Amino acid sequence: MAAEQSSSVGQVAAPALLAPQPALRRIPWLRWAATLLLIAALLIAPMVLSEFRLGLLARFLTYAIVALGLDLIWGYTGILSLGHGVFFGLGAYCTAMYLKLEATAGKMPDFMAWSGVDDMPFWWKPFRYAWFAIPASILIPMLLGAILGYAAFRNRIKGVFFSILSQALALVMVTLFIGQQGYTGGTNGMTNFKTFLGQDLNSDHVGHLLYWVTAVILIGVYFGCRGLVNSKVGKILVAIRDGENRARFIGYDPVAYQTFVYALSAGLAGLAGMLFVMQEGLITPTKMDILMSIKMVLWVAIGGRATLFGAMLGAIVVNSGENLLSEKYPETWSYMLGASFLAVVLFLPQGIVGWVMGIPRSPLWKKFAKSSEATP
Amino acid sequence: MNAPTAILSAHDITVEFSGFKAIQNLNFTLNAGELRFLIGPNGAGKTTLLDSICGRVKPATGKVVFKDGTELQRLQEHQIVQRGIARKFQTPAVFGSLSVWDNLALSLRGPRNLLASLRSRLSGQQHQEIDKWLNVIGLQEQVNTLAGQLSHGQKQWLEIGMILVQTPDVLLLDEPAAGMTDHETDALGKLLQNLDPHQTVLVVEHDMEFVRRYAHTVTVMHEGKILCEGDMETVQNDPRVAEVYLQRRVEA
Repeated sequence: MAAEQSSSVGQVAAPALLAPQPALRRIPWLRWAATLLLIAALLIAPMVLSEFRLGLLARFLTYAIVALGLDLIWGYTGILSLGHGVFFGLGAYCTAMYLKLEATAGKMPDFMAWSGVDDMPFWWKPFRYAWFAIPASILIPMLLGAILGYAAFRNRIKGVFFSILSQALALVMVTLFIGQQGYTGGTNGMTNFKTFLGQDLNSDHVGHLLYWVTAVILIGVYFGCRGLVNSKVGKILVAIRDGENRARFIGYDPVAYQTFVYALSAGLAGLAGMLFVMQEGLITPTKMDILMSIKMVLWVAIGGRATLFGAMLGAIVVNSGENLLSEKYPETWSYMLGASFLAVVLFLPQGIVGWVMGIPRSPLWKKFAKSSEATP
Repeated sequence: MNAPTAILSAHDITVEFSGFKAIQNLNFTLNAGELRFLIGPNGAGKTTLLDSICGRVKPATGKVVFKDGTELQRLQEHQIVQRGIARKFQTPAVFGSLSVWDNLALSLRGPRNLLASLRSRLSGQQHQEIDKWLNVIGLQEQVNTLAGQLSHGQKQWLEIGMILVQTPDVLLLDEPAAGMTDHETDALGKLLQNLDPHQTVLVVEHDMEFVRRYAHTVTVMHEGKILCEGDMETVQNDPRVAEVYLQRRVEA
């Protein structure tokens, strides 16, 4: 089936990443157990982690939101986006503009003056208001995703060609943001935020609050995505992934569904960016570049593509691992990280979740199950 | 016999693939309610004719008219399907990681747009509808099996089921009996004969025994043109047909 549907070019260029994921047998109780475990861990975390660690975890939770959106478009719809950093970055920048203006009480931010800008540009002005900036952090990425997605899918650009296109988007955006230093802060990005809606962003109290907000939004997004993939629309997305033409020839217009899910996942990335920048207190173009975008794909791949739980878990595990390694082995951690990525892609092609769900069918487990049956 | 009314007609269509004319100035009419077989040697343009009806290829010239005047060559594939023309492909195309049930549920006649799909829930009547066709295609026991795990023959039946649940006005079937046992081929022939009398069926087929048994009218294509048309006997006795097939046999 897989061979028939994907283009021959896509297969040659990137067989593992673009081939549809073989369907996993779902184990309902395992999924519920895992979900409850995760929720429990999120509840306990503030009691056992230091403020610093909790802040890090909260940032990884925002990454998990990106991963969920990315899994919708890649895992379920079969479209590999290598430019999701852009949507994350746009969301973050929109919120950063607001935070910056709140810090300067609506006056022109200092970096503009340094770059020789005399007047705050008109399109900066609405970001003075939270009621504009916060929805914009989600809607602007969604709009860009919808326009770009529609143009690409309408012209039946797919497979490896879409991936390259999305990567080009990241390149263009980073270049633009660095080049327009007077409006974006250039390479340095934006920082020195003080308050959000009058609350001191650097206080422990707000740090805690942001953790809870992020955790609740993450769980909400997770259940929302799960509802979507279990609905008729979710089935149609998988149908389009399995056989775009067949879907077309039972009357569905793949373009509408692909554009919808691409825009949705862009919006989720924007939402994540918004939550991220409030906690990080800094946004630079490196958070939207190609490297960041590829890392996002890795989170999903390592956690388990086409399983929402896996995507979420992947983002948290990979980033926690990266963080711990870099603290323990400041010299060699990046090699270790690279090696572990390779190991996962080579030995756990379906990611952590795929591997766990495969255990009951593995020969070793069957042997174990048999022997435990034999000895009462 | 009542005067037949055309449900689908191709007027002077030509289809070109980088200079090669797969179909040349072809005129073709399908009458409402009939079961028509389309035969001809390989490369005659049979699949291309189906493709140009369902919008997969756009004819360079000419038009394809459906019912009371819709010009199909102006529409996109999914729009043509929504007007009531369903297509089965030569190699069975089903959604491998969805269950048999989901494959059928997605194919049920109904609105296809995003908003409708977001709100959609299966009604009790639709459940019965799916059960009914599951029975017809003999996949009741595989209802929860992922379509990708079915055998080739079962995939054929599933795809036929996906066409049937759409209750289309016109069914375009490209070699539906390929890979089926004699017994299954028989079942398929009877199924096609006993469809709703308003449904029109166009079958491309290589299995001559199958054609002989179930065809009322046969259209023979050769080198992108219609060679002749008529009941099986007329066609068989046509010297041009014999020549076309004989020529092929000699070449082979």
